[in-house]
Amino acid sequence: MRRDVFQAIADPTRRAIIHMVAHNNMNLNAVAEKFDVSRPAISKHIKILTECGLIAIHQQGRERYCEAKLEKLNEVSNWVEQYREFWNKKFDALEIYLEELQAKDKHKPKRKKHGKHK
Amino acid sequence: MENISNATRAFVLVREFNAPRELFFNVCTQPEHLIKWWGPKDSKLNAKTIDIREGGKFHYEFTYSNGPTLWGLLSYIEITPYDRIVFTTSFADEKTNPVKAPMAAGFPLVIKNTWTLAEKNGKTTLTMEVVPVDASPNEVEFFAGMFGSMEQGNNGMLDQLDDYLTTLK
Repeated sequence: MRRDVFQAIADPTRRAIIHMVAHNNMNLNAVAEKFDVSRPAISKHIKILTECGLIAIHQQGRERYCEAKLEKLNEVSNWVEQYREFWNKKFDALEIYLEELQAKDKHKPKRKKHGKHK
Repeated sequence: MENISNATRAFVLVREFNAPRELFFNVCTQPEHLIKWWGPKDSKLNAKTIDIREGGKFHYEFTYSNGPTLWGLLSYIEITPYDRIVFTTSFADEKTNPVKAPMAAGFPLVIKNTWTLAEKNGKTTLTMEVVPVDASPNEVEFFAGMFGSMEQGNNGMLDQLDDYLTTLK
């Protein structure tokens, strides 16, 4: 089965887990205790998160710790921001163009030569 | 039905322009206007096909001063004067096949944009809904999680992502 970052954060419990371990590594028991969901259910979520590359598990003595791997999230949020930026730039240009057009209409300026050659 | 369910999963951009709706619409749908403002500022734009009607395409090449030449493609789905323009955007090759965005692995192949225009006091408000077309079910779920709560006036997942990202810096 394909595992990707979209699947990882599609589920609210998994998002909550990421959020929880984003700032501090936490051991697995401590994560599980924060949820009303059964322990095996949490384990399954964590397994999916590790398979998606959003969480890494480290063994320290008898404890197992979750560490968030947030670079993966970058990939996802990046395109939304990039696309927003793409359009904001277009809209800035469009705004200027609209202003120019309307200014021309109002003031009926002399025709400008553009110096185009065939 | 598909449109409706997709719309709730879109992210939305809203912008007001100081121009009446008719002019705004024309400037976006008439080739001689579109090419004047479409090209990225620091690039050269060359429209290969510019056929703005339902089912038509705007296929263009753009070159940054010291970068590679890239192709962009808009495919028009619906054009309703002066209310709505629906189209997809993608990067493309020179034969209009959509291609993955260069330098952005997570970028969807094809993105659908639904523009709705409203006029008030001679100004046009553009509302633009954005949704990936080729979304895998996971991407769709992701969108629902990320943007679904925006309708209730909070950014939900988007804020959370911001939090995560600031921890990286």
